[in-house]
Amino acid sequence: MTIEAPTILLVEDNEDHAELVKRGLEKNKIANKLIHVNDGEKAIDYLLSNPAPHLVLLDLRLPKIDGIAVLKKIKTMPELKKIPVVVLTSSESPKDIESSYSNYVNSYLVKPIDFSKFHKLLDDLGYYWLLCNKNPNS
Amino acid sequence: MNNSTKLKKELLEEIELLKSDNEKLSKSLRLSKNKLSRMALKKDNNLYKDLFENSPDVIMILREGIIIDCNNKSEEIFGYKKEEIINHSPEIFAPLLQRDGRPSSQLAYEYNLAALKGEPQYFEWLGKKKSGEIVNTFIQLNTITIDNEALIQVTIRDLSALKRISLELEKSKRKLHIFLEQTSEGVSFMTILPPIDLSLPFYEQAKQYIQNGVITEANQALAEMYGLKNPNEIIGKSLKDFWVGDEEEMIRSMMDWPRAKYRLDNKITIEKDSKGDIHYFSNNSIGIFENNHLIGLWGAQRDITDQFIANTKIKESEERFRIISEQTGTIVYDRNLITGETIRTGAIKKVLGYEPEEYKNFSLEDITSLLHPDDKYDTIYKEQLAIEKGIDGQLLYRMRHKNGNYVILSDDYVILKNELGDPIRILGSMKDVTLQKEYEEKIIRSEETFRTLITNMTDSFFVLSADGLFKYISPSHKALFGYDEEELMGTFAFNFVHPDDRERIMNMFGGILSIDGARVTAQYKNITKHNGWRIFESIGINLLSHKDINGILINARDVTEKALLDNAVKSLIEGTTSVGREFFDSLVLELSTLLNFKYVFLAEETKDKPGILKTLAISENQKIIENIEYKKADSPCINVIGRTIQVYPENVQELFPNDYDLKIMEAESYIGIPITSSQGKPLGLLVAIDDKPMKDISSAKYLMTLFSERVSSEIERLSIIKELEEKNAELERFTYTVSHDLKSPVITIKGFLGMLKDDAKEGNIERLESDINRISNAADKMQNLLEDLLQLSRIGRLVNTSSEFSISTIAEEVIELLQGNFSSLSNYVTIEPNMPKVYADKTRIREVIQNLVENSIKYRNVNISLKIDIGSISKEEEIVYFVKDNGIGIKKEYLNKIFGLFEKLNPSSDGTGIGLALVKRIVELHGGKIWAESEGLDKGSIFYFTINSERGTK
Repeated sequence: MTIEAPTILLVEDNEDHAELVKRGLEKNKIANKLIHVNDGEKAIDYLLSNPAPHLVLLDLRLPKIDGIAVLKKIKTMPELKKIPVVVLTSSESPKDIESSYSNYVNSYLVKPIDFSKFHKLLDDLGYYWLLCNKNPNS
Repeated sequence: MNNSTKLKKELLEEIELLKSDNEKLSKSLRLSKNKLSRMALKKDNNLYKDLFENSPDVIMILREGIIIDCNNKSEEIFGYKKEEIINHSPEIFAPLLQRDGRPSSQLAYEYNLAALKGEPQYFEWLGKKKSGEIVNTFIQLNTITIDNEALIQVTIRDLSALKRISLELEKSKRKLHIFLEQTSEGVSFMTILPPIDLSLPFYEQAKQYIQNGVITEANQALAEMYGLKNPNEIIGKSLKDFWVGDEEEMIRSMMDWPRAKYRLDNKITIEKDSKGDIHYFSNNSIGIFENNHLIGLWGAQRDITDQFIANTKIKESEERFRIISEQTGTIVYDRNLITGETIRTGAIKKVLGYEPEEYKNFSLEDITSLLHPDDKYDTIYKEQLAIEKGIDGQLLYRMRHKNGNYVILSDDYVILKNELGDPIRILGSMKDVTLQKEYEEKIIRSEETFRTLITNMTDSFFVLSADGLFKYISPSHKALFGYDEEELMGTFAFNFVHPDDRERIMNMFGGILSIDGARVTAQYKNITKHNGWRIFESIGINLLSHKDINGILINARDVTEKALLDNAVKSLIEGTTSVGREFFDSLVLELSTLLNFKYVFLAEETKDKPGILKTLAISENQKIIENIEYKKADSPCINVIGRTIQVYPENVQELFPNDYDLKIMEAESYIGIPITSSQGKPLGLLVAIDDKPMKDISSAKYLMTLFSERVSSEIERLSIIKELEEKNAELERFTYTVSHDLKSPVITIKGFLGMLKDDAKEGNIERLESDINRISNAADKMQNLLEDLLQLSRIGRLVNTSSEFSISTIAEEVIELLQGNFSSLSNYVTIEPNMPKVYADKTRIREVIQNLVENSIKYRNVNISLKIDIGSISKEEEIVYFVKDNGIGIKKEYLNKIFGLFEKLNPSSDGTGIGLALVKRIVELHGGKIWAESEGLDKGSIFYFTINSERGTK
């Protein structure tokens, strides 16, 4: 039985951060397929024209269409709303957490400044969302 | 037209009819008579024959009873041949007996004899034709002398044709007689024989009239007036039979008649009746003329003796009157309104300076001419009115004394009426009141000051008795309360007081009753006749002991508006409990109730749409309706906002023809007042619009001012709150972005530092270098961010002083500055020369231009040649500056987002996202606005901004 490699859509405008996430996921050998877009508009375009990813990692401060608007769009479209969306942001603002949950975010994670913690988070994230968690599609 | 004149008119018409009939008859008779005499005199054979033969009448000439000649008409009428007539006796043409039964021969002999004596004979005659048929004829016998021989000329007219005419005449005469018998006026026809030549002097005419006038027609009424039973008894009488006094006197009094061409109106005659009793007649007459001669006179007369007897009685007591009136210094007069006869007696000499005899003969016109010119027409009019209405009264007029001075006369008169209620006499006494009047006028003048005070005061004065009944009401009372004096006098004053106030006011009134001079002030609602309940403030003073007032003097003043204003102020103060929108709604409603205007609204300028005003609250017919937006430029508001109060009491639509909203509102009048902050910053305006012309402008102004002040403080409060909220939000955004954006490079740095260990372990030198680069870049980025943040925090304070400069100059400096980074930039930029000068912080404005031009360069379309336009346009009375490029453009939905802090449309762009936020900050601090327009991607963008020059000084 061959397990299809899970697809992750990473929406991140900061190139450096995207690289950090990519490397972290590669290291723990969970994410085999990572698609990276750098603004909200491109994220929506991708989701509407490609097979649904297993997970969306979403930053909140994004050019053009910000993260909350992207989240809202995903969670209100019938064909997209089942996709687990995990907000991964540097913001710890209660307003952002509040509006994310109001828009049915599946999880809200804050990027740790500390490198090892960042890696540990990515390990846990991959393990939990792609292995432990049971998706409706799988 | 009264009855008698109507009768008179009908009578005259009848007379005219009769007269024309009569004329026909007499003319024809006279004609043949004239002809005969003429032919006899002239003896012209041809003419004689011609007339003789062509006469319409039978003509025969008799000599000693035998016919010696006849005309052809004789054959025609009697049927005999000429030979059978000539040399025969006329007897053959007559039956044996005439109508009265006497033999024809005897009668003929008598007439013949009489004619021969020189008296022409006229008589009716029954003739007999050859056939034996009897004909009615009319015969005239004349004596003619030819060659000293006396001959008889017989003119015979066949009456059968005439009979018809006379029958007609009879008929109309009967009609006339019936009419004459019906009328109560005495009608007569006076035949004048011979007729009176109208060219004679009046005296001569009058004399002839009296001598030659004989009554030939009379009705029953006339007969009775003279004490006779039958009209026939009066026929044949002449004026002399009735006249009183000697003939000379009579002639003199009759001279009026020819003077008036025998047309008399109410001419008084004094005549005696058959028993010798004196009668007074009022005569109307009309003369009948022929060839400028009076041949007769129709008269209609009324017996006015009774009225004259009354006069006479007065006359009898005249002496008594004279004595009494002389004693009392009055002139007494008695004027008969029908005859015009006037008796004047009393202290004539004393009052007017004239001798009584002199004055007595004055005509009414003479007396009138003595009246002061200013009083003349008024007096005549008033007297005429009094006579017409039959109402007694008093006249006051000035009359000229013989010495030339005017005296003031008080004329008290009574009008006497007959049993029908028609005024017949006016009796009066004239008294010199000159001294009295002068004295009164002095009093009046001194009183006038006081009276003017009272009448011109808007306050009302009234006096109540101790029982609360109206005793006196000042003239101004009606203006305030609407009631007429008669309506209020004696009524209970407190019935007009509102039930809510009545007990309180009555208690206050009662409270001062027992204390002399006590005073009380009260406010209460009182019902007015036309304006419903009004609020009055009254002061009552107990003046019961005052000998003239003897009551409570009350001074009332309508304070409704003031009370309403007080309430308005109160509600304004209480209004602070509601705030914001709710406050505006309630304020607009309150104002619309007080003003009673169709529309009241509060408006402010929109932030994002220049030149457009939007309402904060608007009421229509005292109801809040949905807010509206409208163009400032076309509306009257343009003259208000940031300026001063404007009032257009009417025709506002014509003054602002492009304001469509005014049309919809059916606006007629407009009042608008600007709302400014305590620092003088324009905030908006308060407007009231009505569909009727504005009546009370001052009240409206007052209320608007009052409310606008309260509004301005509320708007200011709201705008401060808003500003604070915005600042707060900005601060929040700032801390958020700072926490996020400053954290990002730290995460990068720490993250890649961790990676470096792996790179080293794995010996991946290439990646090691790139990771170090990332760390370095992140550190640089952090530094930039910190610097920008520092700059942003600095522009909160305008440290540089303002100066006057043109945007053109600044733009040129910027291009010059940027040449270093972008070679030959000036080739791609067009700058409008001599743009209007602004007064602002030059350094900061230069930063604005620089940022905008840098953006244009940064987001240029690489496929085409760069083009930047810097210029200005005039929009809604404001100068708007712009920087226009042909770059990549901006999607519509992002047009507002670009001005946010740390906002970037392109993640790969190297900016920090602070530039436009900074520009916006600078522009706003200069009291201006900034916005962007773009047709979309690749369509280029235009950045607009305004600067409020005045703000630079702050």
